[in-house]
Amino acid sequence: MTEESRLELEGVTHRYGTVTALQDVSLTISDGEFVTLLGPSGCGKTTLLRIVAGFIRPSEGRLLLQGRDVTRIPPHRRPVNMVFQRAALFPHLDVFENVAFGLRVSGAPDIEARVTEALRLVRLVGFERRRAHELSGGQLQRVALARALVNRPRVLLLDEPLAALDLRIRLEMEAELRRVHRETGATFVYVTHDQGEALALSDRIVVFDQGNVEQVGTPDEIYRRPATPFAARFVGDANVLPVHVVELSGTRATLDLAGIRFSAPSHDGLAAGPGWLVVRPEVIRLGTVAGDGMRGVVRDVAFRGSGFACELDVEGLSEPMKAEVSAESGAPPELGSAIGIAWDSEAVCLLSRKPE
Amino acid sequence: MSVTQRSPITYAVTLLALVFLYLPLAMVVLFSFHATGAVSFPFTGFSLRWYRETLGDEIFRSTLWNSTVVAISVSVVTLVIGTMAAYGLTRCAPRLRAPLALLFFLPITLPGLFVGIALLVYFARLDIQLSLTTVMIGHFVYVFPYFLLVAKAALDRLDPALEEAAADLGASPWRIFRKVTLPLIWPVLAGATALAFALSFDEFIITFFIIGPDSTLPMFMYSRLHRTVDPAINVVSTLLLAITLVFWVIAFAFAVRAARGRARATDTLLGEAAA
Repeated sequence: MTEESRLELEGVTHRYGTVTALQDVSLTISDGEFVTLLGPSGCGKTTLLRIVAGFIRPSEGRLLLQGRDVTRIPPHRRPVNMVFQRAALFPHLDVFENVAFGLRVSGAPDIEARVTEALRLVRLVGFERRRAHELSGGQLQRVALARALVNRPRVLLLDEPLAALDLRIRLEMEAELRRVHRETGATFVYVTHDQGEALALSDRIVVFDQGNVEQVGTPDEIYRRPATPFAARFVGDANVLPVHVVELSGTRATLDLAGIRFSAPSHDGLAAGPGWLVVRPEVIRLGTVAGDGMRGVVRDVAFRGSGFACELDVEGLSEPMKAEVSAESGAPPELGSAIGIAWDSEAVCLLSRKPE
Repeated sequence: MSVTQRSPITYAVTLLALVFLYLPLAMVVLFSFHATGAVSFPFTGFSLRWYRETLGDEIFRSTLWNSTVVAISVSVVTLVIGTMAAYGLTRCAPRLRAPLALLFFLPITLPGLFVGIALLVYFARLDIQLSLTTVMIGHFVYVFPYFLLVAKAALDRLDPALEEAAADLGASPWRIFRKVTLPLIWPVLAGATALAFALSFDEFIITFFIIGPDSTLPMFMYSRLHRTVDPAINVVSTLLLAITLVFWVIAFAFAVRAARGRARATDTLLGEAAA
């Protein structure tokens, strides 16, 4: 494991005064992986990134790069480079000199060739003599990316690099980042609060909340099998419904939701008693009211291009249920009408809930 | 009637205030060119005779030289120590920043009279001979907080991500300072140095207490007033005004330049947010 894993965090805890920003985080990131630290602002993800960069020394725990403890190594002696949220290009230097900065510091040979190679990687050849104020936001971040990658870091850190960009440029830059990651094969550690970015870019996602790791997994795993109600709500849209697990038998669980019996896939660690059922809006099928099935009243419908986002009031549930009806299935349900609610029992996910 | 409309009275009062402020200055400058020995009206003709006389005066030339040496020494020492102090002040442990800044800036509030007497007592206690060196020390005490105020503001405005980016790219703290921090704040430092020069060049009160056998230009003027009043004193005043003004303009020009650089940097970011 240690042989190929590039970056290991062991029991990293960080406190600002009495506030705990990170609580006992352990994480192993492999060579060449694209890992995203995802969470709302203030969840500790940026603190963790700054610990890896060396700007913050953690209160407790260790940081290992290829098995070497670097916890106490200052940032300018670490083989990692960072892309900052607002690019942070040196305003007194042109693009070429910004990219060449790290090479000049280390006294590397062939500066011109390497800078040109890095600018080619981010498709900015010809921009060498521009200054930061003559570049667009997307171009600023490309230069920042080239400035970091030209040093061939073992680990590239990215601190919400797309947060300041508008949607169209952001999608373009996502594709650029995927391509640059493929072409360089470097390890990327990416911080964002945008679950769309995380799902689109990452090999693995680490979901943070209030300084704790909620879940680590591939985008697909986290989307299909969220480990906590927080992960379910934060990654993608979800109905997180309070249920009671009545019976467990092998791979199936029987549960009670607002007085109606449902079946769901079971898994290790699940116990009978209170639980949460995670139902993604797109797995819900709306139809005619069946005898003893679940029913709801349509309270809102919004057209979303690919389909209709519906909100339904369901008897016995405190929050409205979100459902997505694809545009191809014809007309959207009528407001105020009673409608039958069903879902594929394989496409939902059951979580244990601590009794309150 | 719009509230922004001004009545003629407003204009009249403004004009009167400006006349009150600048008329004495204009009189001093005007009579420095007077053909006769009188320093009051009637004005009987232009001449450069008082300029010739003053510039030929040995004592005037030596005091001008002394003031220049003192002002240059003070501004150079202030530049070096003040920049280091501002750098330390903005980068030390956060809980030390406010108390240290207070200690550094407090001397601004002290009356010149108090500083002068305090320094005189201090030099006497330590048995230090009064000389131009003691004047330099006194001026340093006087101009240092002003320099620090300007330099600290420039460092506070600097985006900390820039220095972090340089560290991240492998630059040592000293290299970061030389290659990133200094190139970004030098216009402000240059302006603050010019300000330090101007403040030292025409300083009188503190100098009065701690001057030794030598003399500076303001002291020379003061001693001349005791003897005769002729246009020569106007000439010295005009020259002092001109030199000080030049350095204030330099200080101001650098401040404008620094502000432009900042505006350009913020434009890029704001333009992005708006895009």
